[in-house]
Amino acid sequence: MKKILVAALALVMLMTACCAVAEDTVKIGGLSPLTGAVAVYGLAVQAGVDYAVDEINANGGVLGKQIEFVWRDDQGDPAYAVSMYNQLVGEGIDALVGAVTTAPTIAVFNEAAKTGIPAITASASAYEVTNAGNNVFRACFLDPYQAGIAAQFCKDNLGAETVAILYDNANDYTLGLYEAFTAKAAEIGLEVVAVEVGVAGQADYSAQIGKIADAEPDVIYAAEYAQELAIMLPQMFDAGLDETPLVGPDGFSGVDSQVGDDVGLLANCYYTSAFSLNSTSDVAKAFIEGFTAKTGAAPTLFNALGYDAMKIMAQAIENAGSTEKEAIVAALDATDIEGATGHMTFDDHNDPIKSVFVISFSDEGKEQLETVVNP
Amino acid sequence: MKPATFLITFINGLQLGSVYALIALGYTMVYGIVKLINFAHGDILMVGSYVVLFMLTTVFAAQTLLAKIIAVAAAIIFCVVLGIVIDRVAYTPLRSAPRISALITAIGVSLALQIIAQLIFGSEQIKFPAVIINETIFKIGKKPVKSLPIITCIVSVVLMLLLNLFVNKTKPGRAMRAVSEDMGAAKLMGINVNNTISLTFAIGCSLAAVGSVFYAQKVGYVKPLMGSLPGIKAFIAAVFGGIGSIPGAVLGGFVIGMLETFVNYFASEYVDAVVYGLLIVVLLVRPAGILGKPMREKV
Repeated sequence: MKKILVAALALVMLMTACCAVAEDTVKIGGLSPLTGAVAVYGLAVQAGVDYAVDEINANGGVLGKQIEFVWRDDQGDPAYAVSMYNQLVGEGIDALVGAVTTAPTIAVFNEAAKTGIPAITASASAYEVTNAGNNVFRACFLDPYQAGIAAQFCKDNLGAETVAILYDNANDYTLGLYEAFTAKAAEIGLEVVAVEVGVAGQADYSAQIGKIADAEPDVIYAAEYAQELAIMLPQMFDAGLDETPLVGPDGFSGVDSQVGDDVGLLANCYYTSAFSLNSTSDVAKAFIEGFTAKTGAAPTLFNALGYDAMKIMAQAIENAGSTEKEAIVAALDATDIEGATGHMTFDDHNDPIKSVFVISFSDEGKEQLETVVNP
Repeated sequence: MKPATFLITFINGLQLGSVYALIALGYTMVYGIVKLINFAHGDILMVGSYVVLFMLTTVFAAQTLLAKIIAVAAAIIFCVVLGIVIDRVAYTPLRSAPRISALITAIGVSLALQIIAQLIFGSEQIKFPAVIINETIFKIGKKPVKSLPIITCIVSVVLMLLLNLFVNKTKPGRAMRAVSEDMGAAKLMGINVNNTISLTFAIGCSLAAVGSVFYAQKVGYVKPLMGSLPGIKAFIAAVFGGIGSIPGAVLGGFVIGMLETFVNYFASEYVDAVVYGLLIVVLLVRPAGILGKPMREKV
């Protein structure tokens, strides 16, 4: 009898111990390409999210509990992302922050919509991303919006009449930008004189660039990532396009560290961005200072978006008052937050309404704020 | 197309073609001798450029001419040793296994090289230092003609001529041709088959190492996955010219490089469709390639 009592007591203690652990934290899952071709973005978002989690936990967490954050590597691959997402769900996450690139995010959000789990991506910016359901959100602005602003900037600020476009037709992100840019250009009377394709991973863009040079545009819009841009810039200079302004999307972020000492290459580069290190808001300043102190490097756009995505999710859980899926989603809908990337609310499509920064480069090759375009 | 643009596009096509030809030679020689499509060959290109980068940024403080020469030599030696080691470790044990086993192993080696490079150097692309003089020779209008493409073409053509001499006029070259024709008979004639195969890998990898310097400087950056695309294009070049044929690989390299460059000018959205489409057409119409010997499979 005594033995049974002891055993029962031990069992009760074990059960309370286990359940106490389960109730102790709010578990949030993260999906990001931590290896592979787009790992540069995945690691940046991860650093931003991790910084936000540390900050929130240091200030008492959410709902009086600490956040337990679990990372999974999606390698930038949609199929892989879905299986990693299923793993996270199996571990009982309350919410998801991820994925990072567009294609895996669309795949994962389609799955997330079936279970209604609250999810937010830091950086996937194609329109379809939040089509999946009313429980999926994003912290970054949309491709079409960004490219439209870029077209407006080319015409109004740079005084361009003609534009040549360079884009990657094998990538959802760049394709979306291209379509939105051409639509806006037609609307505002900016003539497109050349459209060329430069696929990522190609080493030699000089033929396409040569054709653009022949068309003599006032400005070039390049819907490409920083890695490709860094390869293209010297080839553009070789083709005699050194004085033609080059405008691009937020994928240009980080190009200054790519070109190294050849800062002259960036003299006529501009890109649209949701973030600037010269931002004047208190939240942005505090984030920039704190992140720099912690990591030793100033935050990039993707760091800031990771930070904001995590802050939005944490605030929604706090406002929801519980980890009920529906309550968090409702709180996300009502988001009104000042983040590192500016003030944000969500529209009917769960996309943020926020201002856009146009970034240029100083003579030393440092990013500087050219102008701010408000919605 | 303006005449100046045409000339510069033509030179760029030759430059790209030279690099493809250098890599294609490695594919074709290895296939010729052991009937293996060495899919890891493109990644040798990547390894070569990382060795140069490592030598010029970590080992040597100043990028002097001597440092550059030593760096390129180190890349060649490293790639040669790596090629031989890969053959001995991964391919030799499968010599008598079905060909598909060796092919799958080659893909595995390719992935292993890419992932090891990511672990050591990270996944971000890194700026590649200027190794070869790239000054403006003359200008057509605003467009400069640079020395790098010219040097690339000259060095590549000289290497190809030397290779041709080596294969046709020397004793080891004759051994290679003999092993390629009939491995069993060559063995009976007293040829050390394994050493001859190692020599083939060594030559292929040294050409890839030289190609890597030209390619990395053309791009301006190196990254762990940089070898896969030129590797595939060079493979197409080798198949186009006739896999197993050395002049075929050279011809294929230049044709693919030129084709890619000009399609990029006229219809850049279709460039991959045209290059891969050409592969399909060649395989359908002339499976042995332009300069390959048509062979009947023994059943």
